[in-house]
Amino acid sequence: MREPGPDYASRQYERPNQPWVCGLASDGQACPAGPTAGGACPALAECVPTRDGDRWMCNRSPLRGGVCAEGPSPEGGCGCVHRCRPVRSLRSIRGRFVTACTLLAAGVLTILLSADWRDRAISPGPLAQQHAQLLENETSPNPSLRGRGKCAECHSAAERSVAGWAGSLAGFHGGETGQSQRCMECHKSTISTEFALVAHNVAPQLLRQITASGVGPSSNHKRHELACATCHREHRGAQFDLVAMNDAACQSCHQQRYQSFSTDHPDFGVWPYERRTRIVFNHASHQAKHFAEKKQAFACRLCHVEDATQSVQLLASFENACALCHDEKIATSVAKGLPFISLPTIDVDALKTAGHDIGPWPEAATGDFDGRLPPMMKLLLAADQDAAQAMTALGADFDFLDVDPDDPVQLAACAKLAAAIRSLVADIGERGPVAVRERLSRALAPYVEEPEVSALMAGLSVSVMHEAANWFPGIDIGKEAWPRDVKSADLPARKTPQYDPAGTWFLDDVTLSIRYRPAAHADSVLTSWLKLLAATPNLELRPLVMATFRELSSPTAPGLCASCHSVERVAEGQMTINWRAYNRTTGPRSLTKFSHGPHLLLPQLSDCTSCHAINNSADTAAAYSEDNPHTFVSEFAPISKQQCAQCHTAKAAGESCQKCHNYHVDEIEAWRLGGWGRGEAEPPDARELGAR
Amino acid sequence: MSELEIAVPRPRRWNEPFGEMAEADVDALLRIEPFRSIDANAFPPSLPLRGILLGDTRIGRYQAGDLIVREGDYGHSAFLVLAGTVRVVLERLDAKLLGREEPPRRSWRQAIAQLWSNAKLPEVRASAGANDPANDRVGTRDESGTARVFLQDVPRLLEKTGSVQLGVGEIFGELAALTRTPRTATVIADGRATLLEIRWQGLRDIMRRSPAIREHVEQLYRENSLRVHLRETPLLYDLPDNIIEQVALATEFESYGNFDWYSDFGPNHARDATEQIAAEPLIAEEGDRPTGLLLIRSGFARMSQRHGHGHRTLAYLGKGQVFGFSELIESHATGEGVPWRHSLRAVGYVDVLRIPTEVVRELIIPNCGLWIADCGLRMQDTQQSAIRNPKSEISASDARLLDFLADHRFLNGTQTMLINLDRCTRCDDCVRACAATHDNNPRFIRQGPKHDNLMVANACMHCVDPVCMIGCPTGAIARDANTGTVRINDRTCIGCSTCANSCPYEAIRMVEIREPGGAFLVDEATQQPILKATKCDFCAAQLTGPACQNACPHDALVRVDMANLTGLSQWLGRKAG
Amino acid sequence: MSFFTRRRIRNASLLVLALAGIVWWVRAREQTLDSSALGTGYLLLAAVFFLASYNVRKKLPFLPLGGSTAWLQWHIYVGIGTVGVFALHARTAWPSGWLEALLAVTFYLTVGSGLVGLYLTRTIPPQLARVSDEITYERIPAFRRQVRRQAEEVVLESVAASGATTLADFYTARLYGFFAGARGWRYLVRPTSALRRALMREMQDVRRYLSEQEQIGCERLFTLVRRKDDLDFHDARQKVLKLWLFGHIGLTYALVLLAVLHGLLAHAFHGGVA
Repeated sequence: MREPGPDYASRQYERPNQPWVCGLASDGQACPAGPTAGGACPALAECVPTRDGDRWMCNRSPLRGGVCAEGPSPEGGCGCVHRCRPVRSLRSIRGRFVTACTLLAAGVLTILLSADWRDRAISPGPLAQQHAQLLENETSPNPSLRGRGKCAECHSAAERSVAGWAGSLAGFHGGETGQSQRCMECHKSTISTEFALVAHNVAPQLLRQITASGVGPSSNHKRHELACATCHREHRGAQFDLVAMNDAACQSCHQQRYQSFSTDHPDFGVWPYERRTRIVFNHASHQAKHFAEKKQAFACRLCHVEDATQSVQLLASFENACALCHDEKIATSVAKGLPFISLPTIDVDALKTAGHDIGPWPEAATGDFDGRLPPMMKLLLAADQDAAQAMTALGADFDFLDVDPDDPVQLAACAKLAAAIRSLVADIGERGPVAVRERLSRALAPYVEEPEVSALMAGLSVSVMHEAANWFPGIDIGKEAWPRDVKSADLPARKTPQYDPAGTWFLDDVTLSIRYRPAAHADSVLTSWLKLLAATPNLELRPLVMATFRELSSPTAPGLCASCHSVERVAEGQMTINWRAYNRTTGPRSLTKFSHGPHLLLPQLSDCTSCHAINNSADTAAAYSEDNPHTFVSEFAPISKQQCAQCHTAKAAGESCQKCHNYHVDEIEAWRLGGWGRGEAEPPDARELGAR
Repeated sequence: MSELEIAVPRPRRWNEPFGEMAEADVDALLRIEPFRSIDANAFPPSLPLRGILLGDTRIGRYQAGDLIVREGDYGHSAFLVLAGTVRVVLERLDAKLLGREEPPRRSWRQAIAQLWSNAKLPEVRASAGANDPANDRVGTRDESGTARVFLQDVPRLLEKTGSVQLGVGEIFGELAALTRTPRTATVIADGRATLLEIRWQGLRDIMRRSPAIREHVEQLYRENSLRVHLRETPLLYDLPDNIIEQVALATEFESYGNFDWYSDFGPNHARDATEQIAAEPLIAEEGDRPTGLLLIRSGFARMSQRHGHGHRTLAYLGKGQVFGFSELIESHATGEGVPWRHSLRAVGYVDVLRIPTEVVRELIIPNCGLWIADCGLRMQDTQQSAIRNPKSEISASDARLLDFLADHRFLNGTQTMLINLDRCTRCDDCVRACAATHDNNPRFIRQGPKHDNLMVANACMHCVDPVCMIGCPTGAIARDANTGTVRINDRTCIGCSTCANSCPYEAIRMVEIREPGGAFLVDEATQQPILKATKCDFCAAQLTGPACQNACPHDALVRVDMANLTGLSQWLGRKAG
Repeated sequence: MSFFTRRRIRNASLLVLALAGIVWWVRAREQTLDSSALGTGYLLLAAVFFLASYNVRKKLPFLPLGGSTAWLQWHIYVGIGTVGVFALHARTAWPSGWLEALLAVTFYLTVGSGLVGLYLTRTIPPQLARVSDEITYERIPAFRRQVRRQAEEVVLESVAASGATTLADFYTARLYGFFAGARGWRYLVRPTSALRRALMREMQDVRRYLSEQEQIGCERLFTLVRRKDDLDFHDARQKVLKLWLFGHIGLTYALVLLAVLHGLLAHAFHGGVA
């Protein structure tokens, strides 16, 4: 057997994988045993000396260097016992270093996530200016938020622990559904909460109706909802524009590819003349005829003046623009005054002959049937069931002149009506506004409130009514002032607005009527009556009320209101009278926006007609013959897209969607977008609207 | 005696006998030839003949068609026919037919288990290792009598292929056993046969002390080797059998160099390069008249050319390669004598077959006839392409590299570990991967001879000629029968250090082993630590192939077969950076 | 073109292609109302996990998980790629939140240390290969001590042989400190041969005062100085090669922790989808 060569002791395997290294290794004298697994020095003797007679012989293995120079001790112990303090190997040190780094990182994170620091630590960046105040908890606009953590203003996760976050990862979509709701806690005043997350705030079913494909909002979003944060990305710093949006974002739903405004945008159609103007005005005839006759210059900006923001052109007031010519006509039309109560001429004898005794009837109003009942009086009478039946029998728009004295049915109706008239006069004379309120409430179905009645009868004095009662002999209503039986509990809690008597009430004993003569344009009593009637629901189903409204709102009716203020149908069978021209500054926010100001700065556009060209051939008069404002002929030629496209290119005035379009629209506008008014769909259910 | 050491009996040869030989079997053997005539007194008391027969032999019983020796396997034993006959199949058989299988590998579960099951301390031995490459018993039947590999329809098979029958008393398998080369032929049992299988260590020890047997075996070796080799030489493929026979008769078998060349080689015997070349036995000298065509039978020969005052190495010729053919062809074509253009020297020990010039001229060239060009082409394929192909003209740096490889005899390696030092970051990932796959023990040292930026690391190269195996008394170090990977059977290793001392490359390391508790094992008799030889096993059982190469992140480490110099120069040509 | 250059070009082009793909995807996402941050965030997290798993791979050399070379290539190019993805994900170079700033710092430091390491691992090995034989890092202290012992022996021998102390005095004055131990941190950062050249010069100058025996000793000292300097060089450079990994791996796990927390926060506080 051969023994290993002499240099083998120094040629053992290097073992960088071991965690411990002999402390003597750096001296080049690593002991053959090496540290134990636990890193202790075994202090192992290199050999076990053998006994040869009385001498101890070194027995060191050739692998460990062969017989040593020192030799065994006299007691037979090995002289080569190494003791060291084992050191860790480089790998072992690295392992511990890495563990330490990891623990350090975990420690830092634990500190950062501890209660006091947490919100500040996990915030990914400052909020935009508009939201910065949210972080001041004590001044939070929303009282329910006060006292929550800063992040909790918007994030429900902020109320959970780290473990809670991990839990929310499991059900990811349930993670932060509440965030948009939290946005709405502050933004509900401007955006309806129900459809806040729906595209354009338009109810999905409506949206589906108006999109070409009928697909509705992008199918990417299963619930057809977009969180606020989808577009409004926060934590990007104080100066970050929260509402900036690129065209491509629009195109994630609007999938028809859009490269440039001039080539891809659809034509405007009739825009902006989508409905007739609220104020009936014929630009063509005023320019060509009326202004010319008066030798006035017809300039757009005389009547259309810029608002404070210079984005909208407002219509000048009546006084400034129209009064010069129209005041006189209005005054003439009401010179005789409007009848409020007027006794018809009754053929008492004929009634008597037919067996109807109507009791005492003023002499001056006795004769052949004659006279019309004033519309307001009809309304008050309609509250009386007998009178209502009688008026229905006679026809909603009847005139006593047309009563056939030989027709017993008509005579019976007249008799009932006469009785009702007498009790009406007595009732009003006795209780005044209370009676009017009760009667109107009954006639129009919805409850008519005290202030409204005050407006309807502003300036009508007690004495006038008392005197009117005197028309009938035998009616004693006393001389007390109104109201006699209004209890304090019936009075509305809020402060009653004062309606100054604008016009004058007077008693006409010749015609046996109470009349009202309006003071001037925009008389409050007259407009109050018109408003009240227009707002009555389901007018169509109430011929009597409808007739009344028609009579009062006829263009030729005293005051000539409807000759300029167009009447149109709105929701729930109601009508409206457009007292004011459209004011975009107060109007609902729509999909389209436009600012006149910057356009008018351009010399070639400063003359409005370059965009708004009057179409002289249009028959504008016909436009107001119907109740539907969208059935009309515009007297302006539509604005063509090409006009805009001249400047609105990517390089010049810009052609991004947001240049002309709003994303969020107001609910009224949303409802309009649903298509009602264009005859394309039924108006939404009243309750649905009311719920919003 | 400390508690950190545990005394156990030192493992000895025959602790793990080759087979289950009974004393009666040995008695029976000693009554028959050739054992009867062996002088038992020539054996020392420590190594008695009986002991050899008891511990290094086994008796195998075979049925007709049983495979005894499989061509291509790395055998470690010779066979003596005791009864019946066997057939040596002369032609190559299909590997599948021979039942060759992929060596077993660990399962994923076993591989992952290494993560926690590896020992914490170095060189812990839980129990004796199980795999014993030397004990691959191809043909013997197991306990249930089922053949391990069985050939179907032997008669038909033998009809188609040439075969030789061997009878009682004949020896076969000695070639592979003694030269550490793969089996050259397949042997199957002809009918019922009883064979004595002798572990080559036993055969060697018997040969050493019994001149008769030595002569007999050497005679066999020469005959078989010559024929086998001539048949395997591409140049002679097409020659008719009778011509081959004539060539064989004329061919001379020559051996150069010392069979024990490794004993005076290695780092401890550092020599000047010129001196070393000069010391190498000369086989053929540049400028001499060609005496014949030289075929390398085994070992390596250095082909060099004079350059200045020294010799520049051009190539290495290994087994199966031919020297001097171009000169002979040229002189045949021109009619003029063309001298040898290169010198040939034995690196270590070389067996050479010399086919005399006249035989080449008269028997080989005429019979090649029209195919001379073809022969030339074949030669290009097999060997001298580096010289004959002008495109791959050896550059100066390549020549230096060849010198380096030859000086250190690295050409012996089939899995030499090379490290590109321009890319190696010394991260030790290779060493750690090696340790992780070997029970927490590295099996090589990341250091070694350096040439420019190339370092040959101190890892087992799995030599073509593994001289480490020569002295092993127990056969613990042996080649895997299938792959040729040199492995040490830890169970049978007795820690004698012979292999470690024999290895010229210092790739084998003796280690002191511990029991799982961490205590060193010492011999109870001498109090000396118990050693085991350890080295790279090329991760034979691992799923990954060599872990070192697999673990190198920087393309710095590669295991290269030195026989494939093209592959090596390609790898080197990748450049650093 | 060498193999490595070809591989570098191929991998870099693949990286550029992949990044271009990611940029395209992010653009497409940003064009719509969808947010790309979640996508790039997950991509980054996956990349960080993949990059960190290289460390795990190194601990499992016995599993056929692919060669470490391939892993390193992926590691390098995915690592460089994460810088691009990070830029797409974070938008700003410097996030304003504390936690995110910490995450960004850790990320930049990790990538930076990786790039530094890449530079070092590609430049130092050739330097080491040029200087002396291969020296195993762990054995350097032992070698250093050996050199010092040899130097002292040389001096003592020359004193004994010549009886003069000129060389010994010189050794005590100039060489004792040099042989005593490792160089300082400055040499670690930037190793130069200045000290060696200075010592050599001084030894050259002192030679004229030396006796014959001392001359022989001086000759051997020359060799030992060179050997010691080589050892120092290997020590310093190999130490650098090992130390950068401390930072790189140390930061890695902190980065993983922070990234996971950031991901949790992003999910919990996410308000992008209704």
